[in-house]
Amino acid sequence: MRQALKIGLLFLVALFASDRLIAFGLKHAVDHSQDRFVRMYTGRARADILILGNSRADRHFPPRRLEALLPGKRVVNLGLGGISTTLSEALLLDFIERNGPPKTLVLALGGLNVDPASVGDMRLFGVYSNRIRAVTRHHDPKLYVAGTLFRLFRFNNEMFLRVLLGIVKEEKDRTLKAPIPSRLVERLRRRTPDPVHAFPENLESLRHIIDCCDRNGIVFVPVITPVLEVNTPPNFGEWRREVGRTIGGRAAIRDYSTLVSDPALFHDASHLNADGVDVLLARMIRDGTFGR
Amino acid sequence: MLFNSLAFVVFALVFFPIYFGLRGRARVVFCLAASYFFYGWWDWRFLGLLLFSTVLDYSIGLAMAATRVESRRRRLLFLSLAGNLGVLGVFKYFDFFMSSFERTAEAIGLGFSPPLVHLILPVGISFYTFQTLSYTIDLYRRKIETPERDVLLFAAYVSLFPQLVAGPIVRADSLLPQLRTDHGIDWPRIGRGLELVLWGFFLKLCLADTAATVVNPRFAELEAFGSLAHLVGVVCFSFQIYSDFAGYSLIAIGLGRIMGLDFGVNFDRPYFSRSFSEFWGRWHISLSSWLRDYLYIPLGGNRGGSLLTVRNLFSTMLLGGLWHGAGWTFIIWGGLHGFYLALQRALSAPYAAAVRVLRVPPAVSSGILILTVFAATNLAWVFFRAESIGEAVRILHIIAGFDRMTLPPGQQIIGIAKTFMIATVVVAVDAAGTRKSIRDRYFASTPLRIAGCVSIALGIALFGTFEGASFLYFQF
Repeated sequence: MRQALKIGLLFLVALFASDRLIAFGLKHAVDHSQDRFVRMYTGRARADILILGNSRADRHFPPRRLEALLPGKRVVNLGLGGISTTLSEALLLDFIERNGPPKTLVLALGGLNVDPASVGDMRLFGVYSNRIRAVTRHHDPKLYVAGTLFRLFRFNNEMFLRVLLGIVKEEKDRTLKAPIPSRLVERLRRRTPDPVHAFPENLESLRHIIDCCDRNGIVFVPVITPVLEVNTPPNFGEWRREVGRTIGGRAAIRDYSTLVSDPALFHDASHLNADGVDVLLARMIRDGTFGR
Repeated sequence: MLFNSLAFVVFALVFFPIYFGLRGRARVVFCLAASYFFYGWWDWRFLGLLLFSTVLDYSIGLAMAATRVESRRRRLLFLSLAGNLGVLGVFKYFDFFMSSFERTAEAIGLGFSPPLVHLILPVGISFYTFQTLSYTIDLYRRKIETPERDVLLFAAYVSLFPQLVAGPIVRADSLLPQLRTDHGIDWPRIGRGLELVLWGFFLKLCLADTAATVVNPRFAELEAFGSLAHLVGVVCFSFQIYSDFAGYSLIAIGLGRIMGLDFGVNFDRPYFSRSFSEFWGRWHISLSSWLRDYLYIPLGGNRGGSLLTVRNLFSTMLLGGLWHGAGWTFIIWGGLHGFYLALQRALSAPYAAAVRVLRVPPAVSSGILILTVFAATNLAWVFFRAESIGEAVRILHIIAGFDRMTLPPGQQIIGIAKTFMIATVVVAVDAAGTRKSIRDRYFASTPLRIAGCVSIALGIALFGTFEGASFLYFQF
């Protein structure tokens, strides 16, 4: 019995000590990454144009390409698949705190439809941000407790692996390349697309984001990116009106949902490919969306 | 109740202290109550089916022992088979056979709409049905000399929670005597049980559930992925199904070990097999040995010449496929394995001769055989995983087309890299486990075992997926 207790105790001590030690080492490794989020959190990401939103922001606004198209402007894209507008709000506040306010904020409105309870990969940045930790604690208390008990839990996500890769490799534009397979378009044509619903908590965050932009003199540009025609949600108009009511007269929604009709310019049901992105950016620049 | 849930952690923390605090009949009654609670947590209404199987086979066991008349014993066995397989048939296969019958009737121009029952498949029904059937069949064959007279002990045998819902299928002649024994606290045994549980969780949470993030999108939207992406998806599924089921089995075996019970081995590094017969001696051993002893050998096994052997192999594998699920994809999966086993019988002698003549080094020959078995098994897994034959054929068609030989970007790449990284660790551990010297050295050293457990636990914290995904074999 005594021997068993000794072994059990030794196991627990070794477990918690290794957990803290490895987490400490990993945090230092993360600090040296060239990943865009790490650069932002370590104050290395000053920007004229900041892009926020879900994968539609991430995949449609390649910063290197935009910087080439808009000489003299520094662009930072903090869009990521599965990021809700609530998380975008936390990112905006963290960005301003560490890097100063951008001149323009482009927000892809697709993030309004992402469940604010899904903190997903962003929980890695709880090591830097009280706001992200608060969102985790609010929406997933079990995960928060697990992360407090075992520090390594904070590094348990795909973002961590991506960030690690960023130590040895600078991040490139994340535009998608290949065109959507025609068979997939046919399959989508036979289906009824799912309706979209903006989460009230995200709409609330949208109001906060506009307030924040007003306070900091940031030009706020809400954008709806192109939608593959056969994948247009049946209630899209109604959703669009609800978002419009939330924004009110404080900014004009740049609606590009119907800009691209050729399926060959899409990569999948939700994202343009590189050729489609060129079409979108050319139009947005012509419209003065990124400022003159 | 899922092993990978908080509810189960609480359950185990309450169960084990009480279990070790009780002795004799009180412990049996407690085990039974806990097992029914464990099963009822999912849906208490299906406890009735468990009770039905228990009472049926308990009574038949007593009746069989009370008579020496062979015809009566045979009738009793038939009653057990009809009762157990009848319940399984209604809940698992009725709608499948009826809708297949309807489609066949339609194809030959007959308008026929049979009634469908649309029943929920009770969790674990295939496992406990086979477990309890082994009892009556072994009694009939006089492999078990005396029936179990303690109804509560028999009920505990049928419903024992660690292996109730997804095996291993432990036979009565092995488990009933163990349940009659009062196992005291044996710390080395408990330690070994905990190690098995920990490694089982690593397989499930780190490998199976990570591989699932690669596999599921491919089967949900097959046209969105090209040849290479699907090929990688199929390999990931072979990792997923192995680590999911072997992980569950290890947790079950480990929990049994803590209780003082030996459930045997259910997986023995199957992807290192050099033949299909070896594969089936290493994969889901408790089921494959059940099928061998209660189906293949009674059918004649390999005693009646080549053609009859092939027939017996096919029949056994087709029924093995059907045991997994009521669908043509499972039947094709079983059929493919029957075909592989038959082909192996035909080709093993010429292959051995070719290896001898060409002087192929044994390591190279083994490598070729392992890769061949792995590739063929992967091909069969496509049917196992697909929702329909059309879907499986389409995936194979995309793979064979060699178009879009690129992998999808972003999170998918990270998921794939993570899956292969963890799979490499698992393969390395499995490979090390085949060396007796390494095994002996590891188990003889307490610091090494503590370091091993700490590494596994840290691996789970860093790479585990904690979304409470169900185990794949629950659906069977």
